[in-house]
Amino acid sequence: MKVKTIILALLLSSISSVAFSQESTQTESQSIGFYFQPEYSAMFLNDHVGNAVGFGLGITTKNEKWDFGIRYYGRSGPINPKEYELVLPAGETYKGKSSIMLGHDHGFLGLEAAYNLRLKNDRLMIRIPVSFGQLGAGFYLKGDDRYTPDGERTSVWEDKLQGGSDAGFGFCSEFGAQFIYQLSAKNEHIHIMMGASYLNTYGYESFLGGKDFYNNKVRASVGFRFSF
Amino acid sequence: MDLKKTLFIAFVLLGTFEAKSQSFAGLSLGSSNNDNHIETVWFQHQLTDRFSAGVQVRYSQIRYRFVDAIAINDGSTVFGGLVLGFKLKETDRYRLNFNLTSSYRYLSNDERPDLEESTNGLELDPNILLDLKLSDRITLHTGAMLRTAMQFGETPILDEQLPSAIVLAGLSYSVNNHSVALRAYTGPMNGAAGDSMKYFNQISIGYQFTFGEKSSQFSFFNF
Repeated sequence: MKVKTIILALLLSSISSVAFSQESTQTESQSIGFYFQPEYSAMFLNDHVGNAVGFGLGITTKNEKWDFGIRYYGRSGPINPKEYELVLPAGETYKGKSSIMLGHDHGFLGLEAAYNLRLKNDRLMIRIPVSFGQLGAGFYLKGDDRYTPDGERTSVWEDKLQGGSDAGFGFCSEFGAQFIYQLSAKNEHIHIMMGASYLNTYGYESFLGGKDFYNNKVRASVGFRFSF
Repeated sequence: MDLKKTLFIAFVLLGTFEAKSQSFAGLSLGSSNNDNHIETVWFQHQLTDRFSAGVQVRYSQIRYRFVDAIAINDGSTVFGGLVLGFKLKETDRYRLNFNLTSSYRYLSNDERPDLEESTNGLELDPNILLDLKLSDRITLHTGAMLRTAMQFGETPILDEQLPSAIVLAGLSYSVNNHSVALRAYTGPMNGAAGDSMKYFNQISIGYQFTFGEKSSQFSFFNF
């Protein structure tokens, strides 16, 4: 117990004694940078344009030419009003209906690398990102249909009604280009961003979505870039 | 543990908290698609130049939440937790932070008494947060929150919310030791095989008072 008490005392004392001994500021150009890019995306799918929200974040190399980080975005159901009809097999019903309108959603999380091409105009940059990661997407019951007839979890019925594959997972790759423009000459940290990416999926399949719901598609995005 | 040891540890703790540093106390009011209204109070203490720790208590009246992965519209929640703040980088113009809020959640289910009377859970809110000075008094805050939640009890659901792509944006206005802030979150959520919140929106307004010796030109921001 004595040893534990002494260790605790030393630990707490060290926290006190090192307080503010470190430098409170760093020189901006001497260290690895950081970027954060929140964005809205329009996904050009087979029969409609989907809405997605997400971000990229990570570090920038000292020479500011490369970004390495993660990309995370989702095409969530509540911001995508388009519905898909699920026609049940003959004789089968759900809460008395032979067909149901379903919502749909999707998410992507991957690693991202990007090359930053500086132009003669100091305020304009072309960014070429490549990302690879996992995609998950599915079709789900909406509104009152979420209250199942037997009180079972909604996801159990979603699975049952869609042949066991209401959702699917797979890998996804993206590559594209983005224009990054510094908003103010006086502030080098805030930019607006506009770009497009080309998507391919590998192994994704679901009952209503098939294999190509997200494969071979284009995503256009607008947003901000905060970089330091 | 005997009295001497208790007093010794209490003395060391007191010494730590009396180090020349800032403390922050505040309250905020908000609304989200989870909750009709949310009230939060917090206290945060700067322990070293880079590290701060604090406590946060939150109460909310439910708008749309899940118990046992089934949606309810009536009830209330209480959150109590620890907030750890790490400064990753700072210059005169900006600061980059990583904040982690770990909260125990108690949920009172007023709608479905057939489900558990209360639900115990854990919510983890890791935030990457950028503070960027727009002027001496106005600071822009932006970043990402990767909220993760778990339900315990008779029906444990450890993936109630998986880390989600939630973007946050805020503005704060500071005069002397007083700050007011407007903060918004938006982004998709997922978890529990789809039986969870699918999209999250929240807006809140808060007030924070800073006391102690000023050690940074940026206030702690976790309203």
